[in-house]
Amino acid sequence: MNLTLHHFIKDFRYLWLRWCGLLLAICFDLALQMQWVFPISQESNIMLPSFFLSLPMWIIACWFMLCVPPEDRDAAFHGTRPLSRRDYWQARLMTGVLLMMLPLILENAAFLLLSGRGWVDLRTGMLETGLAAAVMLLWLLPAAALFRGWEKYVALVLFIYGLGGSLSTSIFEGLGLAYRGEEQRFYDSSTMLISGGCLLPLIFICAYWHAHHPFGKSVRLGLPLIMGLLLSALAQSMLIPSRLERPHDQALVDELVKDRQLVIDHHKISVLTSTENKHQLVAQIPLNGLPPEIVPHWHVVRHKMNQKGQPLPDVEKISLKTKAAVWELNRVTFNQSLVPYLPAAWPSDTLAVMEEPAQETNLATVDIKTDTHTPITLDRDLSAEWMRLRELGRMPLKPGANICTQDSEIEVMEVIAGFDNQGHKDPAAITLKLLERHTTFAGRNKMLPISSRLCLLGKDKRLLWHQVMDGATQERGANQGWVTISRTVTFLHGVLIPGSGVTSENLAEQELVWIGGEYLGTSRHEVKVENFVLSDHIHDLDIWPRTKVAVESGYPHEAFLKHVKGIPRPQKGASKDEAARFVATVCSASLAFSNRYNIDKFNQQRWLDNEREVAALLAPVIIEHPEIISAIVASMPFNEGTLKKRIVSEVLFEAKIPGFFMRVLEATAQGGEQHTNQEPWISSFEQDWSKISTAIIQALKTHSDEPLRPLMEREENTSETTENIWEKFCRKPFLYMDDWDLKRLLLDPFYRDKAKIIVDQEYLKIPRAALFRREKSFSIIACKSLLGDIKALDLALRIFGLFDDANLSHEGAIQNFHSSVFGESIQRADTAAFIKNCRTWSAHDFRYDPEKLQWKLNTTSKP
Amino acid sequence: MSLSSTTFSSRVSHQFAQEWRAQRGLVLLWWAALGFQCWEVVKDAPSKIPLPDWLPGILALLIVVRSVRVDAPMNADVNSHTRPLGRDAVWLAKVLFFILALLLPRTACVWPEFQGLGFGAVEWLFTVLGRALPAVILGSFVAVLVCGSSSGRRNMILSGIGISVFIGQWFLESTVKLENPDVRYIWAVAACVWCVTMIGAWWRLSLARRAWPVLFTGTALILLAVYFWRWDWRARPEPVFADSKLALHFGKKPEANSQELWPGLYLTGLPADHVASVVSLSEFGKKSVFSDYTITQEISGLVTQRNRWMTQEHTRALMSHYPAGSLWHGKVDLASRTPLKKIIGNEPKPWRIKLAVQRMTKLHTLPMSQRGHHKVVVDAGRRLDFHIQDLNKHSRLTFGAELRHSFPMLAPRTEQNRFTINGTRTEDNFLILLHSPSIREVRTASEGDEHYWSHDGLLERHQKRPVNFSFSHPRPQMDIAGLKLQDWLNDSTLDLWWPVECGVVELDTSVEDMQRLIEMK
Repeated sequence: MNLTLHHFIKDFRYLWLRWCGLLLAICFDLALQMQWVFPISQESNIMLPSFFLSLPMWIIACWFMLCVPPEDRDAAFHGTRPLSRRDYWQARLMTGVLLMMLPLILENAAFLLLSGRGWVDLRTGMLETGLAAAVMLLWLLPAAALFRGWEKYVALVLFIYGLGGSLSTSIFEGLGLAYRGEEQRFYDSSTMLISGGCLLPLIFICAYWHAHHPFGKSVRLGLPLIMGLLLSALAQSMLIPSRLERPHDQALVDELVKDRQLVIDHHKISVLTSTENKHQLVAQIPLNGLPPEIVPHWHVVRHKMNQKGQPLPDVEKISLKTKAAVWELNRVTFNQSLVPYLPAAWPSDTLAVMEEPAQETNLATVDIKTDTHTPITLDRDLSAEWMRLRELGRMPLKPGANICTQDSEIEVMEVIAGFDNQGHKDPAAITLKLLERHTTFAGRNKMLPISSRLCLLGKDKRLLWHQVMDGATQERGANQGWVTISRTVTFLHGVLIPGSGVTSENLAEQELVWIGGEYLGTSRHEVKVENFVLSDHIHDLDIWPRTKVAVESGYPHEAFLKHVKGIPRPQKGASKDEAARFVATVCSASLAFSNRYNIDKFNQQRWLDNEREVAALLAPVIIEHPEIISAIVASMPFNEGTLKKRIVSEVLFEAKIPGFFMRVLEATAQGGEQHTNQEPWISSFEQDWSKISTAIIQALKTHSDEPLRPLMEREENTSETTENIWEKFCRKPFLYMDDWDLKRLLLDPFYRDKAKIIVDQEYLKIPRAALFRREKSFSIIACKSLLGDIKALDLALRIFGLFDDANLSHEGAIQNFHSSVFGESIQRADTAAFIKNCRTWSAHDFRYDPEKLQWKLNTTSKP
Repeated sequence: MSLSSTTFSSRVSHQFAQEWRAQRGLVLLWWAALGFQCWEVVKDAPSKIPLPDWLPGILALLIVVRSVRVDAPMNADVNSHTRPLGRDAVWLAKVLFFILALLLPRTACVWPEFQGLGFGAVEWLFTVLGRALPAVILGSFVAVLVCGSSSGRRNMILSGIGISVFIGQWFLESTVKLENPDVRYIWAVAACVWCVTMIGAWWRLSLARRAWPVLFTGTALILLAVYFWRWDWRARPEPVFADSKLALHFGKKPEANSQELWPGLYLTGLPADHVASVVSLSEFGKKSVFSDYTITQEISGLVTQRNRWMTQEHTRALMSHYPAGSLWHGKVDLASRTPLKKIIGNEPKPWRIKLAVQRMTKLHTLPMSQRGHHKVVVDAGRRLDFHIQDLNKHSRLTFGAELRHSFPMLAPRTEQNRFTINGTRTEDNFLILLHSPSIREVRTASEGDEHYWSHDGLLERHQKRPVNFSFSHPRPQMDIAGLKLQDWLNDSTLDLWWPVECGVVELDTSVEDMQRLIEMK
């Protein structure tokens, strides 16, 4: 008999019981992945990735190959036995191929056949499993010679710890090298396979060395840990390419970015302050003219900042992990509105029901102590990962509906209205129980890196929900080539809300649209921004920190006045410091009692105002030391404006300045006392206050109204010039665009068309999302409506219709819009009614008046 | 050496020395791993070189297995019964070796972990017991199993028995819900019986090669303990407030010291610095419809504990300790109770109101001129650690703070832990005041609302709750009067006030009283 065959039979005689155990494990794994045992169900609590479910089988396969007859372990015996080394290893190889590899391949084939997959998938699966098993076999054959008896168990444990632990991540972090995320090892078999193949020579070298110079026990038991660590580290390192991360169409990406120089203008950059101790520079990357389904995701890969020739450190380090690169594309489909990317999938005026997405890219993060007035230079290398989105299919929102493509399937198992996926009652929630299946071959993976996304399209109001809250996920079969995933998802932001057009009765009429994506490729760009002054772009105002009185007692105005009366007042002739301390203490109390300005549901002040009495207590002190006014004016924030005006009014009144005082008396005689006590007779524009305070101080010192006269004359012409309006309108439209300014500009033929262009530009920038963070977006929509755009009006009506008519969270914005577009002011009580009406109205119920620049309802009832 | 010529103690010490010689490498490795793990816990920061948590345990078990196996009484090949030392001396030497080399270092690790938490002798005792018990359970069981170790086949069978016992124990625990910390005492009693049984069985096996009577008796006692033991030495009855006589007053605010529970309903008789919180408000014999400690979700009806149950009354109780006329501000406890009429409706019925009374106690005073890290022990097992994080973060003085609660589950509850709501401890609330006398202001802050998770051990409760707080700068004084930040800090004092539980009291209302309340505007 052939010696190889002879030894194989001998091996089989020794191993047959163990082989039965291996077959049992393989059969159990097949049963598990096919869901014959522990099927996916609500009661099942097996939430592990399917790789972990198969791990015991692979460990048993390793153990099987490590089991060697006792006589084969003794090196001295080898020199005298008639079996040649070649025959011995051939027999061992045969054992591995026939008894380990073949069952694993057949298991995979059985899984794919029983799952109803075609020959192409079968071939791919068997090939990939065969490759993985082959690499494993080539590791185990020499490794079996290293361990005796119980040592193989310890070796297995140590190997698994080295492979699956986080030691390799710690090493990368310590050495400052980029690496892949740990969890990617379990889903990306290509990197593990290649790494395993690369380390094979090392295994052979160790086995050869041991055969001639046997290792001690400690070395032999340490080797599995080291090899596991090396395998894990190599798979995580960027040296090994990943099939999941390969670009699908790099040529297209190169074509799209060819000859495009990235230039970021200063006015495109915003500085966000006050998150932790840093200024964050963000900008929209200007790359227009792209096909709509192509989406870039930008991030910085290299950064350099200078200020006055010195390097400025970036507070946030670039993450060493490159998982952020391709794998972050999943976040894009969650965080961004999908509406503009797939215009063919839904009507063009579809709105995404989500919070207004941030469309800016983080360019740099600067320490808050940085000098914001000195220009800085930014030198950035940006990387863009490009993704193409496409519609995979659509189905009605009802149980049993499904979509099948070549590589993916999805089925709606159950539609639950009124409960979220945690089982909590939520009248607005729609929860879906889904069963998804995707290919997970190393060369063809539709589960990663970009997951597909299921969107709910409300056809009546053209609303799209695509953000979901994922519940517990169960999966089977990910390591067999086709994964089955059971998910329970709940759409965020409520679906069954008034105004959405979706009700429990018409669920089957709504559509589910399934969106998939693929990674196209990566492009690199260099950007330089020079002489950027942070202070020009910081929008945060340095206001006093808000506080409230700790213990409430009675009406706030009375409590405030009582507290102020209790503060020891400086005597006549006291020093300026004492006077300033008194004034500051009163201002501090005003800040704490700020609830005295609260308004009721009718937009009226809840309590009677007694600010004049407070101001009367301060006036004599300030008159003695007029310089305090400049400190008050410069530092009191805008939300203390009422008290500020009262103080200044009262000071002017008490000072009895000739000329000015006569004017006050005349106004009082004409019944204008109310007016004199409310207005300081000066312009109320914020930016004039520094001139106001200087003039008042001079007037008080000289006891003459001459310094005040220019301000009073200015009072008659308090409105800004059209040039000033245009200056703000075009430079910072997102801050200053409103209907008043637009109407002023439209009146001027020089600015009319320019203003319309600016409005159109800003309107296009507004993301098609229903829940705005910034109320200024409503102003822009109002301006666009004023220009006669029916779609803008329709957009506004649909958005308002989604609002909660009980809480009225954007009450101010709604009232401003109503006043601007319909020409009529509404109070709080009418706002709720307006929201309810918006749910039944459409833009076609209104007619446009181009002369008045207003819209009117085509019925007798008021909007 | 013959048995007759040497003393028992010398034989024991000889065997002890032998054990040390055979295992010193592993023991040193185990000490290093244990020390590293202990140091990580004390450092409280993730290490760059993560050591698996199970490594010290595996090493310790390996030491036990190797030690017992080399003299396994059921293994004829090792001649353990013919050694001149004597089986009893060998056994005792191994026990001493395990105690000194394994158990003592393990229990010694509780000192760096729990020091500085105000533990008394009782708490230390139960902490050590809680740390030792699991080790003795596992070690003694493994020793009994390894006693039978001989051939590979027998070892596999013993391993199978061990795994089966482990699964059976887990099954029993989950069936009787012994993993619930509230009934953990039953588990502890059963565990103690188990330990004694296993040690006894190991001793009998070592000497006589049979231990069935011991195992049988021990198993029976364990089952009896699990199903019938009900004495919980940790439990203490809910404290009753008896320091003064409390009464409800309906109508206008009374002249005497009183606390407003709701407009028109006052509580009189409270001593100074004492505040009452509403534990429950219910009709006689019915479920509670209101509590300061819980909140009911409108949609789902789920009742959850509030994170913040203190009210403005707790702040008001402190006002007498600070100069009159000071401006009190902050954003703490601004929400008021649900109006009483909304709770009780319009139909007058008799109600029972249960109140918990706290005494506001100043635990710590810190002049702001002193910086650094501060640790304040609240009571045994609870400590507040805080330090200044940022002097000026958007015009706020911010503190990093952590409330640490570590306590052995087997120890009797402390005074402060006796009060519970539906069997659950209430969240720790406190008030921190920053008093600035020169500007006549008192700023208030509380523990914030950050999420945290418990990291309870088998017999130890561990919570580390972030309770960062901050105070606004006196910007008006800084901008108008030129006050400097440093001067403000040097003038200010930080006071930590804690609501110490004094007991509960139940008061009843009559139909007439409720009628009067409903008719009030």
